[in-house]
Amino acid sequence: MTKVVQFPVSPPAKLGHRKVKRRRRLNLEDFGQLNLFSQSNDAKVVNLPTADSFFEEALLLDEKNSPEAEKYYLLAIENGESVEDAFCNLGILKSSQGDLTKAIDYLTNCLKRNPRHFEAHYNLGNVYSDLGNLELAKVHYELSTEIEPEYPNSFYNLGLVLISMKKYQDAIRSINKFVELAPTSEHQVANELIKTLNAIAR
Amino acid sequence: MTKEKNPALSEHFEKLKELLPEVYAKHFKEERETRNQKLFRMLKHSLGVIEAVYLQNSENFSSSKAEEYAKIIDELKELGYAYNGHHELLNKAANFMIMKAKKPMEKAMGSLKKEDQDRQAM
Repeated sequence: MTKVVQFPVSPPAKLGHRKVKRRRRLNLEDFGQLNLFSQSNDAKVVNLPTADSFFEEALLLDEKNSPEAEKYYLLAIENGESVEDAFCNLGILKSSQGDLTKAIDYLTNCLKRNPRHFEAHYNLGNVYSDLGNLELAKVHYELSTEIEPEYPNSFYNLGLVLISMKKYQDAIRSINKFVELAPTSEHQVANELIKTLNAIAR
Repeated sequence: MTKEKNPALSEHFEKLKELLPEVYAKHFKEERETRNQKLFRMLKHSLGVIEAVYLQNSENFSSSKAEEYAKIIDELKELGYAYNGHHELLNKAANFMIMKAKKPMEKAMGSLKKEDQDRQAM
């Protein structure tokens, strides 16, 4: 048997002007209608990923220095997206947090997958120089210059390591190479450094 | 047993103090100098402790600590005191300061970098 549901529509009691009254909102559920759009009173802001992949999202978050970046890099690795690059960038994150051991772990994990990963070699050079291990820093900077001979910063940092090792002539060569490759805005400091080195090396 | 002051001598020295204040000022200066010397001796002793800690475990002695050590020695020299410091530790500090000027880390950009390179090639 069908049940007739009566809706609360009734003709006005009298015609003419009608005062505005605060109307009670009808609750159609009182009349048997199912509410499919029930909402809680608590408003929630949901951050939807804006990038196409976990890796790209991680990069965006990393640019904003968000702590969420690490989570997204790990998700990228789990999902096989730019795995080497995600390991490399996790290494940078850990280094900036002062966890140099974990930084080396991530960067070498990157090199395990791609032994010619330029950024990983360059960044390992930075981590080893932070640790004061100049020999290893030198090896990784040299490898990064072999892989990307047009990248100036590898030559600059290699030059600084060579100064620390008191190999002044090699340092001059390396910093000269930096000047050759870097934009003119970065020449001044490097040229001053070369001048000082020339004075020491004499 | 305490020595009693001779009132006549005491009065005499009081007069001298008034007549020759610079003599007494010199005396205070000397006193100050000995105090500084004492402080310097104490500081040398503290620096020696730092050096001993370094020699016991040089691997775990961070470069930033070495830098602080070098700064103290520099300041001492500026104040006119002579303290050579530990050569190896000063070297470590110097290397740390040089490497502080290094260029920053380089992020790997994944496929974004490749796309960028393709655009440049076009």
